Amino acid sequence: MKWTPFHKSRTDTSEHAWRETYEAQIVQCWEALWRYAYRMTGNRDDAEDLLSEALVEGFRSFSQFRGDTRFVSWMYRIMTTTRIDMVRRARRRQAESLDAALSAGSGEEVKTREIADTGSDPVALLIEPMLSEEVQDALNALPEEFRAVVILADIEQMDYADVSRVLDVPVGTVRSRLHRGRALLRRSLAQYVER
Amino acid sequence: MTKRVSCADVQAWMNDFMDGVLNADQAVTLTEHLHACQTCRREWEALEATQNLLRAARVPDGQSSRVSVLARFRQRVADTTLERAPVRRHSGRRSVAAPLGLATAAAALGLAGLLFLLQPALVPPASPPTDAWPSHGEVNRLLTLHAIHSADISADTPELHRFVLADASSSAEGESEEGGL
Repeated sequence: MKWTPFHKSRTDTSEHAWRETYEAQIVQCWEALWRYAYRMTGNRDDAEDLLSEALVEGFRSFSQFRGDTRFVSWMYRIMTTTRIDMVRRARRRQAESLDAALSAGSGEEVKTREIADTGSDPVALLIEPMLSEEVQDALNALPEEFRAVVILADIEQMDYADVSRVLDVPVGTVRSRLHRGRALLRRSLAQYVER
Repeated sequence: MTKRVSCADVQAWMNDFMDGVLNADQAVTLTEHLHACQTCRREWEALEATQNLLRAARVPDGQSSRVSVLARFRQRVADTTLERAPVRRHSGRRSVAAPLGLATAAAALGLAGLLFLLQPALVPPASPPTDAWPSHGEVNRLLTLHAIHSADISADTPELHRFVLADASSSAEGESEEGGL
């Protein structure tokens, strides 16, 4: 991978300070970042991979963070572009190794999924054992672009303008993707949401 | 008075209503329609339930992942920082030693080429071309020496050795005097 300096004009000592500051910001919004990563990927291993990659990418650009948006929103954006890059790379690899996989008779690697920690929330205790997997499956079935919008708008409850900034797409695109994403989810979760 | 609105219009507004971006006039029309239309009301309830399901579904605890992700991040930063030095040396601050060495080598090669071209003018030939061949006397002396060694006249017979050489020398001197006349 081509090297890009983290902080061109910084000495090694101040780069250490920058890293500590960056990590402190990450720790503060860790829960939100983790939720987004898990919802985007659907399993712990891929969520950790996404976060590890996104943290490095974020640190490369950290000196350009102006504070005109929330740090967590800035990180959402980096995670989204990182995720799209990772999916593209994985698809290329998959296409390249398709013949080999078929001849070896091996299927796609099965990722393990954990039962969510429901804590002490009584509503969650009722809903989680049944539906966490189904909800995640329904999210996984969405196209990547729709999934990102649905997670940010419906789960993280960001408004259109914030989602637009995070994903670097027009507000109109956010709105249409959200509506179409909801329609697809509503269909795939129909048995749980229709009376 | 209640405005008449189609089910298609109401269902098209539902998402905006859910996001709180539907204007007040349309919002009132929508809620009135939902009271009156069971089909649209069910659709609205299903949409709301889907969103509630999304928000209620939780992800596994991420605290254990935080430790490993941060460790991987630190390692990546450390690795990349270590890689930086040689890359920068090549791209940014160039050393003066390499260009200086190249220039010296080029100068040495140029000087060697110049000397090669000028060699006939600077270096005299090993012997004059006029004396390239020995005189007859010299040839005789060499032939005599060869005869001495062939006849096995060795250090055991030094007198004979001196005599033969003196004879050869005198004949060579006589020859040169004749040539000089």
